[in-house]
Amino acid sequence: MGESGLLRRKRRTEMILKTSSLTKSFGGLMATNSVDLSVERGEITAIIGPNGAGKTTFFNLLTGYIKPDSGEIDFDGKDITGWKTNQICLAGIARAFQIVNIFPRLPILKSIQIAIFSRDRKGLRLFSKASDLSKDEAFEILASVGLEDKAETLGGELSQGDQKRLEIGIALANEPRLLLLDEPTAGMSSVEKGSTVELVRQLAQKQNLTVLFTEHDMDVVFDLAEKIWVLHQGKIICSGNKEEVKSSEIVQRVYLGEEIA
Amino acid sequence: MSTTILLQQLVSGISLGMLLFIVSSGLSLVFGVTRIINFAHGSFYMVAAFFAWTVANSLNYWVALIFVPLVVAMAGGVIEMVLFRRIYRAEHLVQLLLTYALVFIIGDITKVIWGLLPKSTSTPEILSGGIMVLGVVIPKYRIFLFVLGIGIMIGVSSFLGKTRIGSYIRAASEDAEMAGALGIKVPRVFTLVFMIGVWLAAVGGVVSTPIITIILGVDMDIIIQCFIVVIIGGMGSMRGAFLGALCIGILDAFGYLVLPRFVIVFIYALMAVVLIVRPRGFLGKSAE
Amino acid sequence: MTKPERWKAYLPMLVVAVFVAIPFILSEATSILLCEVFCLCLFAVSINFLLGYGGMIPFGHGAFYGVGAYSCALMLKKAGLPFGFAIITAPIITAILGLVIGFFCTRLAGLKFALLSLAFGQIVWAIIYKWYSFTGGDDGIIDIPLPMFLYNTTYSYYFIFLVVGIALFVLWRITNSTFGWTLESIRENAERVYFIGTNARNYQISAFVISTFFSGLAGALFVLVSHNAFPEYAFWTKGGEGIIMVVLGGMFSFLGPVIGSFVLLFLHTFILSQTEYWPFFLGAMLLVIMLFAPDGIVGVIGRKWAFEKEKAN
Repeated sequence: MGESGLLRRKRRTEMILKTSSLTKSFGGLMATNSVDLSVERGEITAIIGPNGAGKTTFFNLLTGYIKPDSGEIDFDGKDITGWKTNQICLAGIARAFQIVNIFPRLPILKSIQIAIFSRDRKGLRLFSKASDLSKDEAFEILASVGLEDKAETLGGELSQGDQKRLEIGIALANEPRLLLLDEPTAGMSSVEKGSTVELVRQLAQKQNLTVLFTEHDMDVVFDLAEKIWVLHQGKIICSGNKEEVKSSEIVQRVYLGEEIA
Repeated sequence: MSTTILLQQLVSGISLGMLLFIVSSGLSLVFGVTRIINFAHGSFYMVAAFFAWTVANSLNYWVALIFVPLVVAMAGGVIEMVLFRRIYRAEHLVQLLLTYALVFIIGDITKVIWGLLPKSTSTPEILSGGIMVLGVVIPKYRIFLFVLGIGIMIGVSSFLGKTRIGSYIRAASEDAEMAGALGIKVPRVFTLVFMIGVWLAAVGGVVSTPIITIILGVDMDIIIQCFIVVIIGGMGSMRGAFLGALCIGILDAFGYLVLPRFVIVFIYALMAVVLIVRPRGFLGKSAE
Repeated sequence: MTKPERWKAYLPMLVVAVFVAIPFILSEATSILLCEVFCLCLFAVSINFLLGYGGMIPFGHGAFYGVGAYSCALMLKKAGLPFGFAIITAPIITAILGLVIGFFCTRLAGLKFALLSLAFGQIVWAIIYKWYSFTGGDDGIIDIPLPMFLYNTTYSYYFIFLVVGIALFVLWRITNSTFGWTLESIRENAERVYFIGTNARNYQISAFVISTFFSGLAGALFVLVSHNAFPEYAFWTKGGEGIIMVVLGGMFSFLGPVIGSFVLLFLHTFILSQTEYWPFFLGAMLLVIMLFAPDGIVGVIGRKWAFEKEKAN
């Protein structure tokens, strides 16, 4: 009974991210309750759940911002549990934040260049001339998120939608293998949502990126995600593709039923 | 070291602590509600002390105690409306430097009016002399300070906790935007809180005059001590300010006995230790 | 080259030329005053490295100026060490102290950083003030043996001008390097920086060390100007002066603190010759700046230029 060792090994390396019994509680509250989640390499995966379900905590755990109480996180074959945020980032996980988290007074080209310096660990060069370094690559990244004509604009002066693009751009500058997107279309008009979905899809394809995102807008989720995980009160209650999730009774009762009356 | 001296130092320390509490509670209150650290808080203390000297010498101490803090508080209110209102949303550095600028301005105005020579007032008749407790003579004035400190602690806490205005203040300190949306006139609340804070500093200034020399420079001395109190006790907490002020008062008093040369270091060392080991202080909200 | 570009290229050379000429044009007293300005200028720029570029408020930096001054003075007077050695070692000693203090201060942010830096600064001052047997306490250190050439005003002027010039150039290169840029991103959003793969705290500590090195150098150089060292050099108000210079000139530019230091010192000298109420004037000026021009002189000029450019287009 059970698969051959070869198949099992293949399956393991196809999973770029795998959490085992990941648990975190705050005071008496179980924010993350023994979560077993895996993401296939190259797939676009969504985590959904009502407010307070624990999505942000989960991302914080994945990126080392908080330490789990117990459980393990494996990324690309390495156990990254307990690693520090900057180490995890250099290992290949990048995050774009829900509430825009950029460098407001820096021109966006400079912001991207700085992210590239960080990736290449060139940050300590005290006597280099930073303005020329990695400039072309930074431009390319701006172009990939559609901001190349605003290269000298200060981050704080961009429109909300453009700031979100910058968020993704900064995350991309790290050349991540796994991109975490925290509510990428929050607060957007439907037109903007459409172009963001397109952008994410294109990026995932062109750069062979694995994407894990959280979202509230179910249309965006069903449009973009190949696999969906449903979180409720810190626990995974269902996972599968969109048909499986839509037809799951538990999900309907707990979550979708409230949304789609 | 005899018990008498120890007890005397303890009394001295506690009463100094009370004085410090009265002043620093004002700073803590203003910070807790408006999130501004007012460097010039000590300047109001100093002006009140000088002003009290003038009033006490021409009229009497009790008139000074009633009258001076009210006048200084009103001046504080004007300053709040003209200056502070503009910087509530500004960065920490701007607020810090603006209030620091006020210290210079108020300092020189004080110099112009009252000059450089140190001043002091005599203890009012009723409160002079001492009472014998446990074989130690405790000056009546120190007891007065103690009672005043407790009274202010209870008074301000009750005002904040039990009155309607107090509830507006608490609402505004929790979430100014929400409070505004609920119809509370937040700018007026801030002005009121600031005035109360300044009033407290001024009361401290007035009651300090019989026991501390009034001279230019006490503004800096007291503000640094207030900072330390607020760091130890936690910003925005009355109880914390009480605890912190008592600690500093007693530490000061005993420090003089043990290592008088290094008393100044103690205070800064205490501040450093608290900031390193427990930045949130021991009670009260965090500053960031 | 267009007119403004030609200006930009020639202006630095012009400025240097003016400074070189000053000992021949103006009085000896002016040269000495300018030496003091050079030292404070370096001090202000080193503070701005942390403040404008790093986003930290170092309230207790006066201590480092003082430690630099006292290290130099003590090495020259008490240990009789050679001048070159003292000038190089003083900043190093200061930087080591900066490493320790910076390690603790960088655990905090904003106001608390400022207060802890103040606390440490005052502890250092208190040690200098009270350790009579070592530092001479309130008496300070006087009669410091200096190499002959430094007793000549013109030579010491050029020496200090040269050293400060080199130091400023080094700092300028650092601010334009990847380190400097990363520091700026930490100022903007320290938390985010971890998420792009950098340990922001290490950079903050390093920036603190670099800053204190140059603050110490400024203090050491000042000993050469004043021929003495007093505890006031380490008192927290020295750091306060430095911050005022930074803010007056403009904290978001490299030259801001340079301009601020010149303007402040000349204002100070001028106002004091007219009235004793310099603090009032300083306070009033600082108030106006904080209310209406928090980005300082450079900020105001920069906005005016941008405005003129808009109008022309």
